[in-house]
Amino acid sequence: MLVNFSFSDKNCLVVCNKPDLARLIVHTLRQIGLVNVAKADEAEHAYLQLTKSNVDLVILLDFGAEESVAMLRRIRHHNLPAIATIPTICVSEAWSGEQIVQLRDAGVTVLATLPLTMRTLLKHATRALNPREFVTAATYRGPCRRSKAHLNYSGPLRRNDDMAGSQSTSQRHPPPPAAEEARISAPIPDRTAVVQMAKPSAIQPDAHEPPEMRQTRIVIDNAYETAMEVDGLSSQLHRAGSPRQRASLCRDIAMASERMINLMSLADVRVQEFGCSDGIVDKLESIRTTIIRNAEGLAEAGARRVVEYGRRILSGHSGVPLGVTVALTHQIARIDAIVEVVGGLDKLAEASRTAIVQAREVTASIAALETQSSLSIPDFSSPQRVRK
Amino acid sequence: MSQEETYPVKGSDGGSKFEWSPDMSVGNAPLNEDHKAFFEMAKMLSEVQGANDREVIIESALSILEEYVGGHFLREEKAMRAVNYPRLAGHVLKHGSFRARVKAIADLYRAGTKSAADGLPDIVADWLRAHILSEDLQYKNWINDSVVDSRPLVYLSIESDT
Repeated sequence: MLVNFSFSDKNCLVVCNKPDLARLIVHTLRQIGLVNVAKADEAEHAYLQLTKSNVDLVILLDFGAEESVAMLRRIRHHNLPAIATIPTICVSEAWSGEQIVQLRDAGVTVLATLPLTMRTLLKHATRALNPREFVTAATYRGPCRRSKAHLNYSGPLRRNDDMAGSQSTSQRHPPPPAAEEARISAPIPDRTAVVQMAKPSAIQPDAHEPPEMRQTRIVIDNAYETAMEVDGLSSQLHRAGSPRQRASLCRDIAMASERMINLMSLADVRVQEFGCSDGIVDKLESIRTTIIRNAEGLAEAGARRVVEYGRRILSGHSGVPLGVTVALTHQIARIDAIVEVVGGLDKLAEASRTAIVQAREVTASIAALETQSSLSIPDFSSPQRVRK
Repeated sequence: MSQEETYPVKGSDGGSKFEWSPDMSVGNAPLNEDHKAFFEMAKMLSEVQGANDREVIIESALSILEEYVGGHFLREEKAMRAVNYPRLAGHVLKHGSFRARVKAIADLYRAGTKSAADGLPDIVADWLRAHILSEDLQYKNWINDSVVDSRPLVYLSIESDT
């Protein structure tokens, strides 16, 4: 990776409240060619330097995870694109998984750990000063984090280079160059907050939002709220002890899921017709994750409904509706699809597996019954049908 | 005991033992800067001994010092080789001996003997002062700017390992 990259015209700011460590790293930066290095020992001083002088690289050196995230957010949310896009390296003795996620979401350019050497500093600085495309979205602002191209990717295309490559397939268009600066300087919500929003009322409505977008947002907010409801019911299902309690929860999950699926279908139609914001895409992704997480509950609930309905027909309590086999087979196919998501029947709990097997058996019995009834003309003179 | 090891611990101008002085100039800016960087590193190591985060700083400093040694020695040797400096072989031997000494201290420290790094600042400053005054000043009239690789030290350090 090492290239003869000249840093002589670059200005670096090292933010560190440990003077000895700061001194060592500033000294070492000179040996990799970064000679214009300023220091700041606290956030306000650093922020002032960023706004008053021309800084090309910021190194948050053992500055604490929370402080680093806060500083990164201030940088990335700055009104001036030149400051908002400054490459930033965060260094610590160790990062936890949660801290890495927070820093990535806050738009860090490079994450590094101590101890540092000249070579590792050169590697990190070279990477930071040759950053990947800067992404400005509703929920993220920072360097592109896409790690690889997915050949079968069929989701929305949001990047400028995507648009260049596939104008014909995309539903969206990149902002005009003149609008890009304004887009960068627009405030963006925190992704973590968006994902964790439990209720749609937590979103502040935008007065300038077009009516079509507002309606789409309301539909998706409802779907999101329903997904949270399903999530809660599913948690209860895992803790449920008695079969009756379990059956009741499965019924509730099924009803909420059906409502959610209907809302999602409506949302899908609206997104295709009117487009959507990046915030909505994130929310749809959260809903999808919830559906997958609750797949087992959905499969079991669907199977129980098939069994319950089928048994009523088989016992003679209900008649045999025309086309019932097709409807039940379709339902079984949906259940099978959900089971595939989980990883197959073997991955399910015993109760879920039993319900699905029973659903298949009941469907097979009803198919036989329907075939039998369609081949014979009912005998209206039979003793069972003669009124007494 | 060699001549290098008998030099006084104070700078020849009476300053701190961790400071480069103009009488150590070898007439070439990158080489002088390397020497200053060595003294600065030794000074930092001596001053960090009582710090709370001493270990993580010393770990970094030891690795960086090893890189300095490799990169700076290569810079000098390339220049001397370019002008067919007659005392090159002896000079290279002295470099090799010091490189091995620093490496041994770093290895000992990493293996858990934390006290191994205690004497390192003095070892570096004393050796460097003696070496510059007794050895490096002898090539001062042989080399010129055109034969000295002026890239940042890190690139020479990488080259020294390849």
